[in-house]
Amino acid sequence: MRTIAIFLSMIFVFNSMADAEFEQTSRRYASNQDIYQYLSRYLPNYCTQILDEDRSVLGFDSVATGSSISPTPSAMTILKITTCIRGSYAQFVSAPYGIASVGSGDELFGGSRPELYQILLTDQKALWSKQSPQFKQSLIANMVMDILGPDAEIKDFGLIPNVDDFRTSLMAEIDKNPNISLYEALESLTINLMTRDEFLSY
Amino acid sequence: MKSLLLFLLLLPSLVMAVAADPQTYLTKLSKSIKGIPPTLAERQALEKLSSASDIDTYMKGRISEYLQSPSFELKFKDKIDELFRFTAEKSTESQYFAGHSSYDYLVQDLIHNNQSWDQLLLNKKYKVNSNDSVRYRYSLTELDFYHMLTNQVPAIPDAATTLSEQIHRYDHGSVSDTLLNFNFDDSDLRMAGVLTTPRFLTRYVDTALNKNRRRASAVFRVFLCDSMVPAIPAKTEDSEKTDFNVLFPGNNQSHGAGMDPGAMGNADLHGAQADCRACHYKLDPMGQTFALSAGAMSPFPSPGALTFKSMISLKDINMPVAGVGELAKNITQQDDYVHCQVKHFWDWYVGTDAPMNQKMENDLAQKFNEVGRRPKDFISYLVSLDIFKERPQILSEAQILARRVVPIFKNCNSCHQLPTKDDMNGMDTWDLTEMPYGNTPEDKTKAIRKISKALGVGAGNLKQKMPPPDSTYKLSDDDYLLLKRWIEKGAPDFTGMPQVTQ
Ligand code: HEC
Ligand code: HEC
Repeated sequence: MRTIAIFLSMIFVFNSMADAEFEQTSRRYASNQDIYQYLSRYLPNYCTQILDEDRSVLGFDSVATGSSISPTPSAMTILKITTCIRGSYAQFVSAPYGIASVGSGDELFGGSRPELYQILLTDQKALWSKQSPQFKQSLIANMVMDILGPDAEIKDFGLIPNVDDFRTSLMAEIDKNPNISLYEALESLTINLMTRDEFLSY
Repeated sequence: MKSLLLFLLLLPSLVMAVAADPQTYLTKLSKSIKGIPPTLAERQALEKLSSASDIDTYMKGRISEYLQSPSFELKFKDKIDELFRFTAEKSTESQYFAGHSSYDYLVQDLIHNNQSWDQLLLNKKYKVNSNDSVRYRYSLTELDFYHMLTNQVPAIPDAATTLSEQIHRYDHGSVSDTLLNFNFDDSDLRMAGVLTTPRFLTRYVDTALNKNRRRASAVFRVFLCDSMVPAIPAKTEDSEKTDFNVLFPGNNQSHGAGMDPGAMGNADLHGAQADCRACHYKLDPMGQTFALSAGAMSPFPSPGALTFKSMISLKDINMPVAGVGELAKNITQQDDYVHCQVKHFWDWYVGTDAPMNQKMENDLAQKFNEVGRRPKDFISYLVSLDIFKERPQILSEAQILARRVVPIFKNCNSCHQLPTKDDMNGMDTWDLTEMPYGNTPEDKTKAIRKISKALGVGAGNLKQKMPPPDSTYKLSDDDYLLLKRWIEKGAPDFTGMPQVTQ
């Protein structure tokens, strides 16, 4: 329950600006198939199952009209992405999907991946607050890069005027929860970034 | 005073589109062609380049590589499925067809080998899964379907090894089916690409009452962008996408479903009614070319006609055909077909909301022909256009308004933008989608005054004159209100600048 509260508050804090702009851009939104493809490439099986469950609720194109049920990602889409990522991370920790067997996510954590694995292999319950500031910073920087793109691109979108400030505020938001595990932190970062306009549109 | 003047001069360029950062362009390319963001390695490689020509070369390389990728093929196949409204339903039918019906092979071949888009209608070399034991309709299998039409069923399964490689990719690893080839002669009047696959014929089923009109209307929608809805006031923003069933609530299948079959099922009877003729003069003759194919096709071709009013030349097209094969061939020779296919690609890659005026549409149609109507070449052209490379803009309300009125004006254009002076009956040719309307403030203001007068908005108790009362195209309430709001905001053009300034 505690973690859920964190997700929601984070999504709210960081995405309120993006939400306000949802209709006011000339951008195109990734189709749900795209999101599906992306998530299934980076996260274990669980995501595909969740997303497969109900394609129409997700906002997949309606068979009747051939057009998307909602032109922008619906609240349902966001909820599904959230559920799917959360479930996937849960699988990360537990066998047989333990972290060592997750081989497809090479890019998701950028350069921090080997180091991250090292920590998680020795202590699956590792706390976020116990990690070095350098490691936390590089992890956040890599995830922002992987999911939202390089700074120049993020600035082009115009929703985040200062990317450094954005990374700092992400860090601050997670730091507010002293007992959050490294997993939970990764999970909420992923959800947060993947529900942003910069990720969902192009 | 001087600085104010300078500011005014700068204003238009401030709101003009700016080219996106190369990284943004790279992501857009990757996401729109493959559906996923670029890899870290790609981003880093791009980061290292500084000269414009190096970057340009790099992007060109990416585009051609992306277009060769399995992700592209998968994503593009999805788009074509959607175009035919074949999106997966959770039914045994679709489970069976997903990935290995003759339709799928035909489309996968088209994409993989970058064949002309026309092959959707012209290809008569069908591949059928020889393990096909599932029934697509009643007790028929796809094999039976083609078997009945040809006597060239090979005694020994003709294993197409090259294709099993492709299946391998599409089915994610486990399948490598044996395929049977059913090759019909290119001149075979009975066969017409995807139109004569069980997939198409079972998606658009026929009944005694329907008389293949559903199939004909699918062909009109997909290949001629005629969804036959403008005759009825559009209730949704995008009338092109309006589902036909929505227009006739109360009938589950179509508006004819609730009619008395005795009276209405008779083509001659309702064909005579003017209201019905608006659509049925073109639907019924095309439907006849399918007339013998309820599920299993007849070994004989069925004559009919390609009949419609061209929106490009405004000529009445009326071509009797001896079978669906000839119908399909004739469709690919129509300008309306070319323009329609160009619009599909535009919607897919540039965006439904990206402004496209008549001239651009004509240029694109020419380009489509120049590249032999090959999808990869045309896509590669579209994603290299400046409009595709624009920085993602946060549009002002005025800019959004201008974009939203364009689809409405496209309908007005069908009368106001005729190719020759003779057609215009003395009226001036006017492309209403081309903004701003003139170079001087006076011209622009005058043009908007005309429009507001024609629509009956603005000062005084004006009557709405446009579209004319006898027009089959009517404005929906929503569209009317949208135009009204646009005019009240000074009729902004695409840059958001009001055109009414005095
Ligand atoms: C706006 C275009 C349009 C107009 C106007 C129109 N129709 Fe149709 N009609 C269609 C289309 C499209 C279909 C095929 C619908 C389908 O089966 O999906 C159709 C199908 C039918 C059918 C077969 C119905 C069935 O359930 O299989 C009948 C009968 C019919 N129309 C009668 C009429 C009559 C009578 C009128 C005049 C009162 C009329 N139509 C006016 C477009 C139109
Ligand atoms: C069925 C054909 C048709 C359609 C559709 C149509 N118009 Fe017209 N329009 C005409 C004709 C014919 C005239 C000239 C005769 C008249 O003024 O009644 C005209 C005149 C006009 C004029 C006056 C032109 C001038 O130079 O004074 C305006 C403005 C106009 N139309 C706007 C529109 C708009 C906006 C739409 C779409 C909402 C539209 N029209 C749809 C046929 C059409």
